[in-house]
Amino acid sequence: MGTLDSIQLVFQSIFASGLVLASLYVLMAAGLALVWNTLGIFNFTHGALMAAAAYVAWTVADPRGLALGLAVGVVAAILVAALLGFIINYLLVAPFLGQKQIVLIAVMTTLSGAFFIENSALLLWGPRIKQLDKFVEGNVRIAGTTISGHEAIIILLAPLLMLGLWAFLRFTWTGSAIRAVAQNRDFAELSGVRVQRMYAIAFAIAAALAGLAGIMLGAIRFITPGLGGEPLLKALIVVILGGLGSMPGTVLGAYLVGFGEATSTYFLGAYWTQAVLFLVFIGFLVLRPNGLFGKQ
Amino acid sequence: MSELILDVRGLNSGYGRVPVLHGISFGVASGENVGLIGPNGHGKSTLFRTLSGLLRAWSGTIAFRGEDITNHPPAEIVERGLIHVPQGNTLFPDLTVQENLWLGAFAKGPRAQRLRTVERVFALFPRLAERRGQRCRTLSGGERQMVAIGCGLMGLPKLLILDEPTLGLSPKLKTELRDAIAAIIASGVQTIIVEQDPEFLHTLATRFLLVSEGTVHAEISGEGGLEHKRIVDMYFGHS
Ligand SMILES: Nc1ncnc2c1ncn2[C@@H]1O[C@H](COP(=O)(O)OP(=O)(O)OP(=O)(O)O)[C@@H](O)[C@H]1O
Ligand SMILES: [Mg+2]
Repeated sequence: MGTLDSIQLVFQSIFASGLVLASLYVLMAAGLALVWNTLGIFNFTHGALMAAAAYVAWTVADPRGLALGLAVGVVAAILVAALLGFIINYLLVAPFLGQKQIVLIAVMTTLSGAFFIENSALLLWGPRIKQLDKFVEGNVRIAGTTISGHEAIIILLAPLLMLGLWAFLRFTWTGSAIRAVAQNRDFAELSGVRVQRMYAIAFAIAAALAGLAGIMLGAIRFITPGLGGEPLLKALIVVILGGLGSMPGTVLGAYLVGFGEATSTYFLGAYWTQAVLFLVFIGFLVLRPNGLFGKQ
Repeated sequence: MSELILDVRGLNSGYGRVPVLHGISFGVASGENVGLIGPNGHGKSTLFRTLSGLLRAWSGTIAFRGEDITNHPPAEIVERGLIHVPQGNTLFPDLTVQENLWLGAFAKGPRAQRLRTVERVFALFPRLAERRGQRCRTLSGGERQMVAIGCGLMGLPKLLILDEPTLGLSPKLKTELRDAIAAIIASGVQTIIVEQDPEFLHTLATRFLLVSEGTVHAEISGEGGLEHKRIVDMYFGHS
């Protein structure tokens, strides 16, 4: 009896922490996948955007800042992230699209953009560590264990946002045009779609998603300029694992990495988990170089 | 001479530094339907890519309905009613027939009229109506060509450019397609059609241009009747 009970307990705590991690990864990876899918580049400012949004939310919401409350802070931060995404696309990506080496060029331009944003954040907000208030106080019980209300919100938000993103891409004119541009750029132009505009919109939406992920993180981790560094790496793994830009693949990848990480952390500890995660990831890519849902 | 719907003068264009179009000039008068023939790789598709704004014109001018459109954005050119159905009909492979057609009507004017236009497209190509929910990736070559032309029609063209619409089609499908194009012309849309088989153009075009080495090498106007043999001589005598 005792062993069965303890096995159940182990499973429950792995499930709860895995679900929280997985949901965070969905939020982090969705925008990265959208940009890869539409523009065919990796946006390395994605992590820096998370940090920037968390700082903006803190400044607007916190009593030591503008003290306008968390809700206003969240909305402001998402809008600022979207605007930053728009600017990043305009300055660092759009001028180089159409070049043969666009993937490599974009790695360099967006990486330098990321350093710029992170260092600007350091200058603007200083080295003092900050943290956002939790969205809700109190705890929630799921599957026999207790998680914070904030974590419960993350768990709910991830699938809802993916559903929203899916509906946007599926049912709106702009969403259809974004998918069309991703599939056949020339034919989209010949259909009267303004391709640069669709790129800008996709980029801004992705940045807004990064911002939201940053805000959610900013209440459970400390806000530093490097807040998004490790999440960016995780999001990259998730997107590549999912099959580069495939949205269902990205979601599945996020849940696999989340639960895998939770399991490994439980048995091996946080110290070894990152290494294990990378080993498994590399092994998987050897077997399936195109990821879960990748094409040929 | 009647007013020109399309007026191309001294157009130069190409890929990278390699020139393909060498100062090509021609006009399309109102009411005309032009057949374009010429050997492979001599710049027919390049000409259309330049007309529709996909490719920069290095020099020369393009005027459509009296207004300059040289190097204007492709979307604006589409909105003016100059619509190019590209060669090879790649479409949006993971979207359905219906979604492809809707995107053909992306511009404001055509979008408002899309329900009426799509009925016309389905009347022209009944097979598309049956397959409206199917992904284009899984269509046959002929069906894909119908979708491509359908997308062009959805944009309410004044001048429709068809780049080798019969590529890889069976003789039976070719005949069907010719009838469909004849119906499109009868509905008041002017066309420029590229085709390797002059026979196909025989009843459709009112004038023929032979494009070779990036310029118009010869032309035969419809006045006095089109002599099929002359076209064949011109075409094969050259290539
Ligand atoms: N994207 C490209 N990059 C570089 N060169 C190209 C490109 N597309 C076409 N070309 C070259 O431009 C020339 C003209 O090609 P184009 O497609 O215009 O010929 P075409 O007359 O349409 O031939 P076809 O009858 O085979 O369709 C060819 O030599 C071709 O190799
Ligand atoms: Mg061609």
